[in-house]
Amino acid sequence: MKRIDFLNELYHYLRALSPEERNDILEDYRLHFIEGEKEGKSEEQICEELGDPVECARQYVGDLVVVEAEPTPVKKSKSAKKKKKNRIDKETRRKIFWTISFIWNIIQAIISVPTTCTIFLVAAIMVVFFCFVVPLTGSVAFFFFGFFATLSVFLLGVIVLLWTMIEIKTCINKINGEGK
Amino acid sequence: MNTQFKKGVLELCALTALTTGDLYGYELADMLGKKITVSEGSVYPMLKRLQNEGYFETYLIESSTGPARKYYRITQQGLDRQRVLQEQWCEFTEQVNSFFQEAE
Repeated sequence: MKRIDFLNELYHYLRALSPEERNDILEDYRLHFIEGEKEGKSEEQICEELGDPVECARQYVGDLVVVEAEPTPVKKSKSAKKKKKNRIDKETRRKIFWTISFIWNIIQAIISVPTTCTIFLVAAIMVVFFCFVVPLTGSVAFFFFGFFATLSVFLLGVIVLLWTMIEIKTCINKINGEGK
Repeated sequence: MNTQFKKGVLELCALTALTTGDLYGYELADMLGKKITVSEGSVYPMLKRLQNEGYFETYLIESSTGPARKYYRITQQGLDRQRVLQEQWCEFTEQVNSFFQEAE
């Protein structure tokens, strides 16, 4: 293990503390590495002497906060066990729901991009088509038909474009949200 | 050696080490780690705890060869605590030793 790995892991498991306290604690270990290296020890050797960073963190914050690193089997009453199981189920359900909705968002985003392009392309073709055809026929009704048909296709394109942007934004928000 | 057992002893050793003079963090961790084969990383949480309980004070001294060193100085409260713990330890080991002697 390298110095950076040790410090990162320690910092991570101290997350229950305030940033000032975390930095204060980290400072002690940073100085320890510097002093150790002055004595000619390697980073790996110092890490070995320091021991497990999770164990160090545990001594600052107690068992509760680092429990995810090493689930310790604790005897619990039946109801407490059940409660915990329910909580896990709820968490799993939430995760499954999140994943499905996320995939759905991605699918929508992927589909809507070519859809938008196609619709705008159709609108453009229609404009060109009517520009050529309307003067040939000289019909006013046909002109209005062409005008409104093109306009509605164009508006549909704008709606789908907005929808695409919303879906992409939702995806980005979800990725950021889950990262925290 | 059992970790819980070591933890209690570690406190007594740190207090005792500081009765003869101030030491900085690395010195203490290195000394305790070598003499009672405890992981050096667990020395710092213990030092912080004892400091919070008022047994130690800390101060910084600039070092010419690197960053400032954090020194630990034992307080009067710490000295009292050391004496009590040492008495308890001696009493306890005597009892355990007499138990061994009877068993022989």
